[in-house]
Amino acid sequence: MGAKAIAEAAVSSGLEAYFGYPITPSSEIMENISVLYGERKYPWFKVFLQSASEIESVNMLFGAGAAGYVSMTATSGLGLSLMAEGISYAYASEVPFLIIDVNRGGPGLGNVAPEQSDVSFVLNSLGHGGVKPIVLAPHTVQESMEHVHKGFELAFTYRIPVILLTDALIVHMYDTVEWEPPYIVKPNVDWAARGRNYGQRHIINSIYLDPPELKANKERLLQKQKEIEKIAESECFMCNDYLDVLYIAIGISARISKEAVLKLRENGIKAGLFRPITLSPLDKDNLLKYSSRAEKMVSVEMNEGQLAQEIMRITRRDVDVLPYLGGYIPDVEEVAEAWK
Amino acid sequence: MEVKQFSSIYENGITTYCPGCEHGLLLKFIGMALDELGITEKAIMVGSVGCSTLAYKFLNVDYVQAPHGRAPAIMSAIKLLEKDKVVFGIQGDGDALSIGIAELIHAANRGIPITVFMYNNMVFGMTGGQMAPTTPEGMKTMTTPFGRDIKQMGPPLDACKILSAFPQISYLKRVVITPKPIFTKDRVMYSSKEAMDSYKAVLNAFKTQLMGGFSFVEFIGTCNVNWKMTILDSKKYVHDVGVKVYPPALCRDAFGVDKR
Amino acid sequence: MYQVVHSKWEVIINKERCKGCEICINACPQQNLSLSENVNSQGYHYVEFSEMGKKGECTGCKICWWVCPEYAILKVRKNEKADYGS
Repeated sequence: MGAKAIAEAAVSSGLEAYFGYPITPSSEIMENISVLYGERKYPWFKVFLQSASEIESVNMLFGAGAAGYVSMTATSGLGLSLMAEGISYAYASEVPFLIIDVNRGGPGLGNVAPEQSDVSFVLNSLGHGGVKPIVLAPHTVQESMEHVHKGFELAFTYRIPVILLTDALIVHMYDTVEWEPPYIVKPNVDWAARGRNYGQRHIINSIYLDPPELKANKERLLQKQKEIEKIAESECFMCNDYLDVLYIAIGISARISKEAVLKLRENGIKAGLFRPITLSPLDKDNLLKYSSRAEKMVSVEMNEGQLAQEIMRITRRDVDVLPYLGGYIPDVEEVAEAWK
Repeated sequence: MEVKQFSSIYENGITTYCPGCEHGLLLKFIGMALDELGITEKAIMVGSVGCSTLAYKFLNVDYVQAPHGRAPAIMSAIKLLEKDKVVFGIQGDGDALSIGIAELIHAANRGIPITVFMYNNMVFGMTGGQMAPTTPEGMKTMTTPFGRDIKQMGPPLDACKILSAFPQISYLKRVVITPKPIFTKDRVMYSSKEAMDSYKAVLNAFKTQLMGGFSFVEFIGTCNVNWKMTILDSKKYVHDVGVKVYPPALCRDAFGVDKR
Repeated sequence: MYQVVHSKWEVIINKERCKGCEICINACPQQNLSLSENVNSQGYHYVEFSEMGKKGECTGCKICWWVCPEYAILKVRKNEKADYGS
């Protein structure tokens, strides 16, 4: 199952601490990790703790990250709202960790069917003060495993929180995977707060009472954002062409849109799919290149059009939206019809 | 200055607390205890939001700034991963008992060996003196200008009573850190007994952590600027009103450190 | 002939840290501490030590050291300038 694959990928990639709170549809990830912790197969997996709430979860991740340990949790949209303060603190104090968001129906209590309605939340500002964590969006179970490993690596390279945006379907589906971690993530943590140890003290801080100091901190974070731009990645599925329609989708919608593109190509219509792999930073160069050769753009999403807003902002062109609300999964026929 | 100071305090460090506040006294005793036990190099301090956030400019140890009320969760995570370090935190009474009470209770229930110091001045100090869960009945604060009404807000919370319910706490103590004013016929003097007791409490709290237990010490202190009193009046207030609501007590001492 | 008298103990003060809260001034039983006319760089009148107070010389009781909240009273130690055995 997707959850078991993600748990196996995380622990074999070098996970050292897991703090979680159960919430459907992400609880299976925590359950599988607790089994791996109990079996003691991996000597670097030191701590597993079920916390009392999502707020306690994110703060324990903050503590583990401040001490320089690879840590992770899995939650859903409701928990992510509660974690927003902790993520803002981590972004400002440069503390790394990984959060897997298994998107369910929202807003409010919603339902437990899959949706992609957290896109606006994670892209615009995941917390107060302008917070831009790195967001990865896998579309298969295998890619989720790769992204967990990549997430750990990116979090510690840039000292920034990383969000993995999946949905309830990917985490619960059965698929064939073949993947081994290329190496165990063992980051360099000279900056971590592990005691003075006869050297310089280490400070993990986000309060700067004087305006010039706070401005300098924000400018440093913005400069880091510019450097992070170079890891932007996307997949171009039959889109390197003059196109009648360019589909834009992430996650499970992307998988279904690929089928629709193949179907349209059989009937002679020039269709293509642009799939962002890193949602933040979005691969602007490739998007502008491929969209400039497309007559029309259609965004297939399991929400009211959140990704389309971002695409419209970047390309300054209109994007048609094919929304799926309430937990409905896109249908290949409807997606193929939308090109008109 | 040829005088040798504690290695855990910056040589030219200046506290930024209000004149007369005993927060600085708590920091001085923490620095002194870290030096006496020789654990300065492996101490990690977790600061909270409130007046305790200013501690990092004075104490020269590793520091992590926590969100409001969440310091016990961060301390638990750091201690689980770095078992041989000494992890401690300073919180205010609003931080620990208002917004952070869930984190404090769960950390106390787990009993992971950390040390929590709570400076209780019966109001929210940093934000200007609003009512806190520990405000006694009838006390006038910025949000209770006519006195705290216990019919609606309930009586003040007693941290020692709440935490005594958890069996895995090893050291639970409340001391008064305000020096007691002694009035003679022509002048006022201060006693140093409270300060010495507070230092012993800090030292024993660290010793409990080194022996593997969770320790929590509550210090009753003044906030003369936000109580709108002079320094002398605020010290009198603590010893007239404060100790009646929060009498000093040793609520638990599982390893018997106080007797040694 | 005047003989200069020193107290057996002296109090070392870091005047930059002092905030003039006057706790130590009240706490000293011999009243050896008083507020200076000058201000330090923070703007507070800081406290000064005189070896002979209103009620006698400094006895090294250290009450001022215990109650100072700013660590401005650094140390209470034996005075090297005192005449021993005279």
